[in-house]
Amino acid sequence: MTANEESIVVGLGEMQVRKGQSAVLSCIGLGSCIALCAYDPVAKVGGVAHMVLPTGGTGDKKQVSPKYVDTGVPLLFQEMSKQGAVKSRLVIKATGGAQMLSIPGANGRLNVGERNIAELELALAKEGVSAAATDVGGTRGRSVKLFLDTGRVMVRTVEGVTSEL
Amino acid sequence: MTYNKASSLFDLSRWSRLAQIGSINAITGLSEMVDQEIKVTALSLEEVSMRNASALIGEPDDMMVGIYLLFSGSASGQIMLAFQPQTAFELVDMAMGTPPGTTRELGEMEQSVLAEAGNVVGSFFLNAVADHASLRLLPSPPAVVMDMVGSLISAVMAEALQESETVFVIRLSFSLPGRQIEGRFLVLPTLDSHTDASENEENQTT
Repeated sequence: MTANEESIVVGLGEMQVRKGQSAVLSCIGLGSCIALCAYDPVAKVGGVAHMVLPTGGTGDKKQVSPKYVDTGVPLLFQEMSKQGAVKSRLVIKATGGAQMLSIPGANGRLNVGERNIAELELALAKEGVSAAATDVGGTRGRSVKLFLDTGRVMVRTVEGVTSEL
Repeated sequence: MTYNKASSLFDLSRWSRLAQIGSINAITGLSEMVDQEIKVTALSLEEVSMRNASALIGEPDDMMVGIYLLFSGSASGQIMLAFQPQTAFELVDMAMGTPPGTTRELGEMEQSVLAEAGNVVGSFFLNAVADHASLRLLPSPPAVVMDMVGSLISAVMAEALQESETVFVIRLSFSLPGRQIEGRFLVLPTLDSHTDASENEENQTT
């Protein structure tokens, strides 16, 4: 990141979309959450959703929010579309979905990461798109940065290893 | 502090009292385990939003050691005992009676010692709350994890946020005089637990 680049942290349950800026969108310390990064290289529109849980309920009580994977994915694409992105041009990358906590006999309750990954696949399929690259699952934390000038996505693991997704 | 409809279901002052009783007992247990005087430096009950979750412990990319357990029974929720890695290493040295600086990584033995600390703190906390509020509270075996603050807190919050936009957190800071030991003790009761525990505690005291 250069000195002139603005750093925008996308918090838990939030999404950020920017157009034509020299900025970096980042999620620091992803555990079971999913960070969905999307970039339109023609319109130079990029967005990140930091999604916490797979779904926000069903029926009348369904909650629509970037907090949930099932509604966060379409919300991100809608907001990017408003800023000039075209869905068919999006380069989509995702990371996160780790199972950080493991307790014998209780892992059915703690497998939020695994359920987030499964819901992400469903949500992307519903949108008729697929991810160009993913780094999901496992048991360790990650941080991710989307560079809006190029669309480059960098993932850093808790061991300090940084790689391009 | 503002309350949403769900959170108004329980009486904050009663839960504060339960938190205080349980937390002080938990630190007594830790103190006995390491055979050192441990002082409670701050105790609070806070409503925490998703956005501010990481700030409970530190910067999101700081490393931390988390000792995590679930509890169930009359009420349910999560307990996390959190330390900076150096602090966790020093705690292991104290528990094992080895000179400060001996422990430099978390191997199987060190994880086992910290899990035992989690057992002691969790059980002492839950027993005190259970006795005072006439509840039956059962701890799970603990998990010991070293990772980024943000990763661990978001995983804990994800479990709690399945039921609410915010979580209530009992936050306890403690330290040892003359030693570089400082920790955080977080308890995240599930929303339904607030009402049951408050009601039971009210019946007990009226």
